Amino acid sequence: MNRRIKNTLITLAFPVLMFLIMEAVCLIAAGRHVIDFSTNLDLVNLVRNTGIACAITYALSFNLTSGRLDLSLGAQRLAGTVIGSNIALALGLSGVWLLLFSLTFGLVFGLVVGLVFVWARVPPMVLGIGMGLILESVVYVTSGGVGLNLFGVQGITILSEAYFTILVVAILLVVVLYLVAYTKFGYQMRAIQGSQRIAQNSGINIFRHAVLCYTFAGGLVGVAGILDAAYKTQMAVTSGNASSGPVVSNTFPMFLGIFLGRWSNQAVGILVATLTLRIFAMGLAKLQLSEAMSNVVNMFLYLAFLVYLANENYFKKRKAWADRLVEVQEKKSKLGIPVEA
Amino acid sequence: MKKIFALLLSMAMILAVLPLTSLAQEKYIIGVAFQNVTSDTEIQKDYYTNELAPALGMEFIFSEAIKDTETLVTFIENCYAKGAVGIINYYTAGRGRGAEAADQYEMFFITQASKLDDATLDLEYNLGNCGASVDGMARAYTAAMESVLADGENHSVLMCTTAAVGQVAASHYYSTQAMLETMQNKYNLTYSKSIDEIINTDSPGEVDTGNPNIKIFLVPGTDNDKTLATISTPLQSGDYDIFVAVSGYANYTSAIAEVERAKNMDIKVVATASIEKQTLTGFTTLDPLGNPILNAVILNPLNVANAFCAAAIYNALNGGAEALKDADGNAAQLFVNPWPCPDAETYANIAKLDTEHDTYVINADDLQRLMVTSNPDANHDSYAEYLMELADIDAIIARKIK
Repeated sequence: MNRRIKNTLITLAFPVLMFLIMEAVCLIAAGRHVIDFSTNLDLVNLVRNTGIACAITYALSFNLTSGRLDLSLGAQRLAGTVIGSNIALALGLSGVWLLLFSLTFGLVFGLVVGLVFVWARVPPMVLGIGMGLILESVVYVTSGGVGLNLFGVQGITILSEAYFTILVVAILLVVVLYLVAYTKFGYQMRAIQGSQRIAQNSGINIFRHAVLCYTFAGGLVGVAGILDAAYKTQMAVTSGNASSGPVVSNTFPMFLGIFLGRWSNQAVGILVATLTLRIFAMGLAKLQLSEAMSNVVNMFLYLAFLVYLANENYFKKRKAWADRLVEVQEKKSKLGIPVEA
Repeated sequence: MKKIFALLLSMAMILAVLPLTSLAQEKYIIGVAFQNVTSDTEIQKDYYTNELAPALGMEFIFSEAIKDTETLVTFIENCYAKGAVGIINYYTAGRGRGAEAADQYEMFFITQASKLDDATLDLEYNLGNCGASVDGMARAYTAAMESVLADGENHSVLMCTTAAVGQVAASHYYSTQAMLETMQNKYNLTYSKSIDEIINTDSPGEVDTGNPNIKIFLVPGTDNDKTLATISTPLQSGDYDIFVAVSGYANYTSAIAEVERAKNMDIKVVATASIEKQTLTGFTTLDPLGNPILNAVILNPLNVANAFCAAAIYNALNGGAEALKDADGNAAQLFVNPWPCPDAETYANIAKLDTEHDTYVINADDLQRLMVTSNPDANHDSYAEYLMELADIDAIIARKIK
């Protein structure tokens, strides 16, 4: 079989398998389908939630794959969305303009965090906490503590429409795919992911690259933020870095996406992983589990996946070690060296 | 000699006047610990700052959203460092620990909650609670439910009971109980479990009503954002034509509108709201079928509770702490009655309240009745009596709206 077709089938197998598993579980346990095709409501929800989560996961992947966990990403999402959208609303703009303003302000806040990172050389997690707290406070002050309220605002319905979400995700996919796979930026990213020191010694400006990563990530979470706020009609201010919650919860699709990227590439892998996990979440919702139980199931699956990732070569390594022992013993016996039992 | 005498006299006068001057300028610093920071928080802040502060000689320090007890205690500590002498607390889950912390710093403490924390009743500086009346909320939700069920048709209800489990928010528990009882009486339902068991189940699920034509689905949870994902399944079934939230409703409206459009059905919405622009928008904005998004609300008179809490602390600071406690000398529970609002026309009048000095339900003039310095008889019973008077929204409108 053509390798490309094989890889495509393996990649698509994940959401399909997840759907089949959850469909069986939901039918057996709750007597209902994981996706009710009698209306388009479940599909619209799936598309919307996948789109929002996918944008956040792409944002996470820019820095996390290079070893930088940016804990201010949630605050950038909050700041980009609330400040950008409030300015757009103050200018009498609505609809797609909110998206563009959130994107722009997300890029700006990402750029600011990136520049501070390069200037201060503080470990990314520490910087992320500090910048997160600062940005949350900025949002609080600039919005008078209200955040973003879109309830009753005309023209925002388009941002919650499935076709619009698909369009946005398609554009994001193409942009991220192009950036990561076909540009100098992408090649540098892979070099830095391999070894930051070697990448720097070979002439890559790792600091400029980091600033670009932070900037792109900021823009992406800005997009995710406004899509989410448009559906919920509001985005409340937070404090104490509580804004990082929705971002950190997307580390699972990011790791799964990188894993799936083996059969496609990182951008496609993340989209498929996000879709897979949204189907899983939808199944849990259909099972009507309590919030606590849903969290337990989600986190257990996440942990199990991380354990698998950490040990996926365990049996290969054991076999290689056993083969090596046999080889050594044969060599010793050939050389007449006594072999220990 | 005269000059020296005049100089000494002047200095004596200045020294005598200086403390008076500083006394006149001294203000009580009070911390206000908000549980949520939303659009109605700004309305409350305006009221605290523009009406209560000058009338009571207070200065308020406002918190950001407090979501855990640790943050509440930190806020209390920070307020103490800034010279605060009292705390008005909205974070109900932390009221016990908050009362202990405030007592440790000798700061008067009052919470906007409907259920006392038994362990801290006898603390000297804990004044108790002033929160939504559980009976009042129950009556209001009963009235709202009766108004949406009044057409004589069969209706099925989806209830978001946020924080009702375990009476984390006691008023939410009693509101849910009232609605379940209303449905039971209206349709002669026979629940397979007790109403208490039904409310205290922490998983979402359909209630066994014993009547296949009447469905009730309860969605428990800790906050509206998280329950949004849970309501999708029952909502999308098209079985439920009434949606009730014991808290806010705004973030559910897109999900409800999508179902109305897809199923071509009207879903009536009943929820708790405040006197603010968003409530008027809810009543005047039409859903995809041309009906108002909001059909009935239970209005929470936020500034009434704020006035009573601030006045209670003012009295405590002026030697009236004991008078505010109950007959056993323990921290007391005061109840604020909500105002049921069945339609847009009623709301149009209510919306004129709480916008400026003249229309505040309790303005600086009304506060005199609550302050021990102007009304020495102000005590627990007189507070409770005044709160009962404020349950009559028609009387308030007649008095305040010219």
